[in-house]
Amino acid sequence: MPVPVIELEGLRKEYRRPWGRRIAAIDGIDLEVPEGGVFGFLGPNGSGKTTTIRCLLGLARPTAGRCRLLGADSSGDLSGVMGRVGSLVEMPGLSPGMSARTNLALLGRLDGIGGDRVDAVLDRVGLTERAGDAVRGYSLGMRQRLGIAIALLKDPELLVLDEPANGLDPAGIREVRMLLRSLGDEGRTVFVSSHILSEVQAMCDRVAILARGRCVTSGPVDDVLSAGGPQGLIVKVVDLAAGLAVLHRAGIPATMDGTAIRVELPPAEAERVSRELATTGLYVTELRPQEVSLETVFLELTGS
Amino acid sequence: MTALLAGELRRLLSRRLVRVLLLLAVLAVSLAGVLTFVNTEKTDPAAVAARLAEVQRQFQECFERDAVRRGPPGPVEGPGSVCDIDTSGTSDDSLPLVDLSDILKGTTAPLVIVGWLLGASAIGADWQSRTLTTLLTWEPRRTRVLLGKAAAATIVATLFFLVAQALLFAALLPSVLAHGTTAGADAEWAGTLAGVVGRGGITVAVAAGIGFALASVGRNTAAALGAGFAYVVVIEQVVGGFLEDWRRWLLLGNIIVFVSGESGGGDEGIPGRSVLGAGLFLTLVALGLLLAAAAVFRQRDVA
Repeated sequence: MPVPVIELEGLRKEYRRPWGRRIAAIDGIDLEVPEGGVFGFLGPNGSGKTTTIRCLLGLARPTAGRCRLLGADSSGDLSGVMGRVGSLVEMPGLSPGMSARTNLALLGRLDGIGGDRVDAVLDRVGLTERAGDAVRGYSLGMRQRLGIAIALLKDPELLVLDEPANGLDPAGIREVRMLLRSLGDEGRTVFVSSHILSEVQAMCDRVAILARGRCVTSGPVDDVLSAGGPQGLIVKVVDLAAGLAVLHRAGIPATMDGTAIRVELPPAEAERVSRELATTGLYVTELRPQEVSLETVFLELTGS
Repeated sequence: MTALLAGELRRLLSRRLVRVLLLLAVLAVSLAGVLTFVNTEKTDPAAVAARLAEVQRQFQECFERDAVRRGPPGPVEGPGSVCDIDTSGTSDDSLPLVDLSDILKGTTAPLVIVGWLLGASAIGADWQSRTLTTLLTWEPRRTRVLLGKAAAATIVATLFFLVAQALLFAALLPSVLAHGTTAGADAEWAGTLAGVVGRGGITVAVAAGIGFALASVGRNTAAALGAGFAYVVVIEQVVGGFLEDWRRWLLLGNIIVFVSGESGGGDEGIPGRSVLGAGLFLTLVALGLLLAAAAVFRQRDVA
């Protein structure tokens, strides 16, 4: 069985507040991220996503539990695996007085990476034209692109990205989505935290959802959607009020939902709904399962 | 390690603070060169000596006349106001080359403060801009990262000192050549000058190391500057003022001894402290603080 590229076992991280009070930012997370594909790491603000990523990259020390990155314990020496990991933690920290190209070149030299690779990643994130400008003049979105370029510079087999789409415009967000998806399709593992749930749903193969420092669900996106979201049917008839009354008389739980009726029955009961309406002369103009979005599941599981 | 050190040197040299300080140093040195040239003049030592002897003779005569006229125990007024003697031509306004070693020694103190600032800023700015976080995702060996940065900071601070001293020397040279003399500038003097610059460079490196260590623990430049200010005001003044014997374990006295190159360092120094002892003490303090900062850096979380 292949070793997961990321393993978290009972990971707990506490911070000390004033007057010695301790607060757990993450509270016993167990998670395995298999090799290959795009893994979405979701959670509301303050749920512990960034703290988890920082523990994973050896930037913060866990209070309890363990985390492993490509099999190496993150609390120990990561120098053996860090060359295979590209990462972006929040907004990238860069030398503001130097150009994007120089910032990348200096980091690249630590791993023996040459100028050609620097130019290639700058091109890949769309920064070639501004590559010679000092970073202090960059917009938020440009800095974020540069952060992604830094993560890609090592040509890594594992990417750990914390909110890579922060500050990007819609076109930039779409570009990042396509980039990450293509990286996942190349066989790399992309571990990405994000707030943009529609993007995550569109690009991820698997997800984990955090809430209040705990992992409340994880697995393939389809499994999470089918297990976590409310199930129902959307029905449309010409006379919505009459249709709703018919369903209530038949003992079918239903509510008005804008321009349709929402029926609280699983899709397998669609025939029953259609029959009850048809017997009173109301014929359905639309009958479909209610779409369950990652957002719906997320909001339900995190109690947001 | 070479790539890390080279990268850190480039990062530091690209910093706005370094460039601004360098610009200020060039301006200050240029101004000093011009003012020195204006305020010095070529003089004949023999003529000055003769003129001085003449003025002294006139003063003596005046004093004697005045004392006879007034008689004791009346107040004695200054000779200038009573005697009104022309004293022009009695001072040597030339700038001999040998005096430059003392001038360079005198500029060491402000450059030590600049070294402290550069050292503190080298790591303080990294904490603020989070470049440390990015760097640690490339080179996770923290001790290596911190020591690489410390080495770069001390190298830049020392280079800054050497460049500033060289510029000052060059700025004063026209005054020496036009209004002074190179007499006495022998091998012994060259050795003295090298000692002044060498000890000054070491002191600046020590200051940069201490500033770096404090800013690393405090996680910003202001922490190191504040700690330095508090140290000078509280520890040096209070402890050094009341407990004379403890001064040999404080920084300022040792810096004075080391920079002056004289055992004991004169009135403001530490009686009995050797120059080598002072240098060793300062170096050990800086190394101790850097090792402590590295130990703290290994343990603490990085945002």
